[in-house]
Amino acid sequence: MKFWQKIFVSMLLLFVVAFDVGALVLANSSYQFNLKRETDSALREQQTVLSSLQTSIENSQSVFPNIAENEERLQAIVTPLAEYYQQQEVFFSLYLNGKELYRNAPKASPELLALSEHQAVNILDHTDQEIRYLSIASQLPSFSQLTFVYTKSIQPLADYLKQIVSVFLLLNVIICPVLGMLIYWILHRMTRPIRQMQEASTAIANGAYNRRVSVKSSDEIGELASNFNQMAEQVSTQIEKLQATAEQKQSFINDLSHEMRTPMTAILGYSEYLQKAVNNEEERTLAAKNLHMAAKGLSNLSQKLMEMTMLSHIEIEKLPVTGAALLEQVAVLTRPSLETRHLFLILDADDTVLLGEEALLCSLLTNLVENAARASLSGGSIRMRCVTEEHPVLEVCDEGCGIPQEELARITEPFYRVDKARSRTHGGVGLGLALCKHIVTLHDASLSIQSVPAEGTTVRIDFTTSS
Amino acid sequence: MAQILIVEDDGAINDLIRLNLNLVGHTCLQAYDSDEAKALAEQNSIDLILLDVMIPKTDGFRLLEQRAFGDIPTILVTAKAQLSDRVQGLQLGADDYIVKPFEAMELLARVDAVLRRTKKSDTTFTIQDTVISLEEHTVLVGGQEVDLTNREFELLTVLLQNRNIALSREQLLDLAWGYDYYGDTRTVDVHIVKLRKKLHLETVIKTVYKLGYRLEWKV
Repeated sequence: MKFWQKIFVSMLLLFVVAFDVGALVLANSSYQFNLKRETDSALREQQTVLSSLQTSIENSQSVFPNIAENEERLQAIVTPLAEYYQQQEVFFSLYLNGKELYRNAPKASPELLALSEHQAVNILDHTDQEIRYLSIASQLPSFSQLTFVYTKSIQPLADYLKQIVSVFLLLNVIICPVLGMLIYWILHRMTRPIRQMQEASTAIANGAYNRRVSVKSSDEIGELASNFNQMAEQVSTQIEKLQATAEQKQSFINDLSHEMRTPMTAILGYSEYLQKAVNNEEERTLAAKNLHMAAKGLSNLSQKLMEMTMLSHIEIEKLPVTGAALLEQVAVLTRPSLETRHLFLILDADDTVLLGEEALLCSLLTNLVENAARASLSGGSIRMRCVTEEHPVLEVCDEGCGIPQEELARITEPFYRVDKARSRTHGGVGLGLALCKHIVTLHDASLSIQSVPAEGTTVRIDFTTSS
Repeated sequence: MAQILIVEDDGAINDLIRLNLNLVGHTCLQAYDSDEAKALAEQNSIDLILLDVMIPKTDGFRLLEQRAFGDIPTILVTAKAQLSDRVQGLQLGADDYIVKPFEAMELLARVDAVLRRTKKSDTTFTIQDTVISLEEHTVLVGGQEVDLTNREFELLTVLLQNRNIALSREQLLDLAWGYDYYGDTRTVDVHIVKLRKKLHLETVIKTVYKLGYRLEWKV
């Protein structure tokens, strides 16, 4: 059973019970009140009639001493009185020692006449021929052998009760469905946001991570909805992140396996050639040289991969690094390879102090200088700068072949090379700039590359957040 | 023998292909990017092109699309192993497809198959005084026809097609007898002995220590 249905049923039940009980109590008390009033007025009237009857009989006693036993006289006294009252729906009966002397009222039951003592009054509520009567019996005060019964029709009261009951039933029949519909409508409206959220959560559970609910109320449901949206937002961001990471990893693996194929082909091919083919000394030398190069390429690749893996798992400790000393260190490290290519390294450093891990910054600059060296022509120069502008800046500029504009965006992707044949002959594995980017990110710095083909390239690292 | 243009930007692989093709007597031209390849193809008469897909300047698929080499048969050599790449290459007009890393035997077999289709493959070999015609299925020794069993001829063909490369007894069994033949590798030895004797090729079909047999013969 749904939540709104539960509320609906319980509210309807509660209302119907409360309404019925209330109405019944009200009707009953009103009826009881009216009945009491009727009874009181009947008692008063009975007393009046009784006393007037008593007076008439006492008056007649002077003429007829034995009046209490004189049936005819008594009838003669009571008859005009009874006829007079009959018009007002009031009837009398008179009994002498239990024997009926006069009666225009419906026949009363014997218990009415069974009076316990002289001054007792018996009241009976009874029905005769579908008409309800109230009968009051008592003995005449001075003539205890005479019993007088006063009977009054209380049919209007009975009709009133019937009417109340039928109105009440009618109300039940009309109000319950109307009320039911109203409650249904209100509940349906009030629980709409819940249904929306339920639908949305089902959709999200089935993978539609972009589903949101639009609930614009300020109550708890509105709050719940906005929390729900926040949660969904979080989930979808996380999922997107995970997917992006997974895709990145997959494409990295694809690239890596592709990257490994070429040296593998060379290693397998040349080893097979050396082993099985008829070959001369010159051919053997070439095969061995290429075999060695391919193996070295693979070894370089695995080394760089190790570095990448290390970088993605470490937290760096940022310590002050003097710019000038850093550049000096990089110059020492790169000197051998630059000298073989007849390249000059120009250092330009002021007293800038960087915050970072020295070994990583050194590796970063070494990579950049080696890239610059690969792009440069023999006799060219490479400039390395460490200065403070608005913030500390590292820069490596060359006067080499430059990078075409359309390639700049992709150049930091793993295994992306502008000129792969050239890069491989110089021992590059295509991970250098990807590594650099990693190191830069670890330092909360930003890397930007500007290049003009045939004029040169400038790689700039801005340490915007570290001071 | 055919003249083959190798288009491959990686020097080591380019050399590897050249060395292997040289073994069976093909002459090779080497190009390292698309522009060089186009120039060489124009200046020389080329029988077959081995084309790497990922080469500098214009990639291999684009070259095929542009029909840069006219009607010269082309075999793609690439590290891209996905089915879609292979299908794309073949749809663009490549005659065959070799995926890196490849073995020398596979390379030679595919080159030979394409050359045979385009009728540029040699089918007659004259080794000393033995003349072998693969097409006519005949062998003449000193002008006299020699009777060879089908199996012996099969074996001779395999050795010839992979000349100057050592083949193991298992490889010979697979290639000449078929994969479903469950014979002893000594069967190969027996047949080799017979071939040497019948064709007077004792010095040409050599036993390579610990490897198998090799037909050594260069034009």
